[in-house]
Order: sequence, then structure tokens, then C-alpha cells
Amino acid sequence: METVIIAPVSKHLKTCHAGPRIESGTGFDKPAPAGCKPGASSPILDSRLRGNDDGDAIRIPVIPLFGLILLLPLLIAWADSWDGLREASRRITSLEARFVQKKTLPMLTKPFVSEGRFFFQVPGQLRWEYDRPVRSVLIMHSGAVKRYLRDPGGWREDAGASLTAMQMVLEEIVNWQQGRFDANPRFQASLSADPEPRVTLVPREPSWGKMIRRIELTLSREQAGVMKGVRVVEDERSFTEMDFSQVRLNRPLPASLFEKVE
Amino acid sequence: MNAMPHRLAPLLLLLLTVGACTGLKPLTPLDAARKTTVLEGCRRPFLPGKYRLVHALETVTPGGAKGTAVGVLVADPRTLGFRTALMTIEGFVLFDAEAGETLTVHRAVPPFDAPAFAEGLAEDIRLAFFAPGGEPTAWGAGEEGAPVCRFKRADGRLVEVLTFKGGVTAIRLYGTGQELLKRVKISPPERPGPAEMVEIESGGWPSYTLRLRLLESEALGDD
Repeated sequence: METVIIAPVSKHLKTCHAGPRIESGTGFDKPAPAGCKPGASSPILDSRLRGNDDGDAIRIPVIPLFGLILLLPLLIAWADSWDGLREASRRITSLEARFVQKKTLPMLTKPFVSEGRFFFQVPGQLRWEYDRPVRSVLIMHSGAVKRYLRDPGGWREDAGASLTAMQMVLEEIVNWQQGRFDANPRFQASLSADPEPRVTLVPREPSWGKMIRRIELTLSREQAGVMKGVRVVEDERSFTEMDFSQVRLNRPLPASLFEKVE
Repeated sequence: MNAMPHRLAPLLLLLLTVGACTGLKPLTPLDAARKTTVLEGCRRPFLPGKYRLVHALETVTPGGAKGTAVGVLVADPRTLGFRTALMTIEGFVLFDAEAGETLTVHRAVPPFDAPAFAEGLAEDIRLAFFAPGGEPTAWGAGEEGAPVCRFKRADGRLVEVLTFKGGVTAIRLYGTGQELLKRVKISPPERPGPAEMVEIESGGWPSYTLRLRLLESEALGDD
């Protein structure tokens, strides 16, 4: 699958999803909000490209419109429905990105910042690597999770109690990478399109809600199937934000990346 | 049947030897003129004021299994109050507690939800970061000639602070029976401010070692 860059054309587009959310499990989009013409597809053209409400003549260049129509399913629809998300994610066989993680706590005057790299390979291989300030590598390979930490003696395997929790987190990330945002029955997933395409996961069980209030996954408009950022909200003053950059898709990744720490 | 006592004998000997090594040792008196200097040295490794610290925290449990977390600590030695949070490197908060007159756990994800964990962690923080209060009950020279101060706590336990040549500080907590409970080693600082490396060893059950590497520190003004 090729990476699709939609920024040059998407600025002429806006969606008709300013507000309505698609809840997981419904299978259908909710009705279009006020201001969207009945029968219009979710994404619509702005007034520069379509007839206005007074019925003025449509002034649309033919070639750009033709190109736009061809690209529409890839450019917009991917983040508008669960099916779109799954379909876009199916085209991704591998992903690599850099990330900056910012942890905000009431105890901290400024966020605690970490940086690293993230690798994903279908069907479910992950490498989550922190370069600073604590060097660590979390690897998920064939369902097994291992964490390695760098200390003055070199890399060593971590056997801390938090690893069990991280196994669950990694399995969830694999679901997200494959567009299965609504796969975990513990979370109620909803999809919104404004101001950015976003999946919000809210724990169904109160016991989980005490630990995580919600998870917000911001999707890229520019790269179909790609997440721009993740925000894990523990409470309104305690949250983790992770922003991805330099995302590269479908490049062959060495198998050793998911098998060995180095 | 008679073989059993013989097999146990080395173990018994070992336990007696370890016990002998870990109990309080007599101090060699030092010139009284050195008292102020010795006491200053004994208070130096602790926080001089309210600080916010972020540590990379390595835990070693029996059998040598190691784990790592990030610890955030806001501690005020004047009030002996603190708030601490432990989180995974990925930012997931495992434990969050606050200590003033009482210890309040705001969040604890299993297996960090055992009350003994919270109490043990609070003890470790107080031992490693807060100078023992009051005048020492004894001072002098200890092992390797290191200046030593001993402080009796209100709970009957005893805290010993040793300053070795080269700048390494050892803090030891003894029980009411003078048995060694915890041991803290503070490496000599490479720059002014809180210690960059702190190692806490607990001999209780389960025994563990915590190694703290300072990532960030910030002196906080009075609230």
C-alpha cells in the first residue's frame, strides 16, 4: 500500500461530521448534523467548490474534481467509520515512527518528557523503544512481551510487576494498529471527526474507570490508517500524551527488531 | 535422623555470622572539637529544603529479578511530608501516595496496593531523604574510621549515618532489638544539589533493593 498524502487537497474539504459520533457496535452512522444536506455523503465540499444555498452556479474545475472523486474514499472516508478505519489499517503492513511522550501530573510543574521510536509489523509485532531519559525497549513477539533496560552493564531483561500491565497495553495497541478500535469489550469506543478524526475509548467497568478515565486516539488526516497521537487520561490533571512524527509505512523491517533488543 | 542437626549447623553458623556483622558496632570516641563538623557531615546527604525529584528507579527482588519505574517525589524535610508517584516508563501511574501526619494512598495498581508496600515505601523515603531529627544519641568513628552519628527515633528504632572517605554516605536503620532493617547508600554527588545515586536495601521479608538515579530536580520555595 502506498502512503497517501492528502494535505494539498484536503484543505478544500471539510466533513459533515462536526459533532456526531459513531458509537461502537451500532454499525451505522448517526444522522447528519444540522447544516449538512440530506443525502450528502459524510464529507462535503466547501462553498468554494459546490453550489451555495442560493443556488449560484457551480464553479468547479473538472480535472481537480475528477481527481478528488477518485481519491475521496482514501482521503476522507478512512477516518469516518469503523469500516473505513479497518480498511485503511489493512493496507498497512509495517509502521515506524518517532514519538515524544509528555507525562503531566499535578506534582510536576512541567511535563516529564521522554522520546523514542515505535515499530509495528503485522500481524502483531511491536517494538516500543525509549531513547531518553531512561533507555528501554518493550518488544511484543508472538504474543509474548519482554522489556529490556539499559544500565551501565548493558541491556538486561526487566521482570518488574508492571510488565503484566504492559502486556495488556501492547495487545490493545496491536488492535489499534489494525483498526480494531472497538475490539476490546472493556472499552466503549466512539468516533468523532471534528476538529480532528478521533477515537475515544471509555472504560465500561467502574473499576477500570478509576485507573483510566479515557483514551483519545487522534488520527492523521494526511496518512490513512495512521495515528497522530495518543492521550491517556487518568484524571483531568494526570495524563500522558504521545505525539508521533516521521511516520513511515510499509517499509521492510528486519525480523530481529522484534526478536532481539539490539 | 542424626544427620539433620549436622546439616543445619553450617546454616546456623552463617546466620550467627550475618547477625554479628549487621548489629550495632561500638564507636570510637572522637575529639569533642570535631562534633560540629561530624554532625554537619551527617546531615549533608539529606534534602536541605523542599524539592521535586524525578528518579529512574530500579527494583531488585529476591532471586535477582529487576524492574524499572519512574518515581516522582515532592518532599519537604521541614514538615516531613511528601507526595510520591511511581509510574511505568510508558507513563502509567502504578502508585500515588501522600504522607503528612497520615499516609494516604491516592492510587495503587496491584501488586502495589498492599498496605505494607505503601508503608515500606514511606519508610524508605523518610530514611533516604529526611535528616533524622534532634541531637544524636551517640557520635564518633565507626567502621573504616568513618564519622558516625546515631539518632534514636520516637518509635524506638535507631538511625545511623556514616560518612566514608570519598564521600559515600551510608544510612542504616536498626530495629528495637538493634537488628539491621534497612541500609541506604548515597554516592558522592558530582554537582551541588540532591544525590544523583541512592541505593536502598531492605532486609525484611520480602527483601528488596531500590536503586534511584536522579533524572530531574527542582528546589521549591515555601508554599
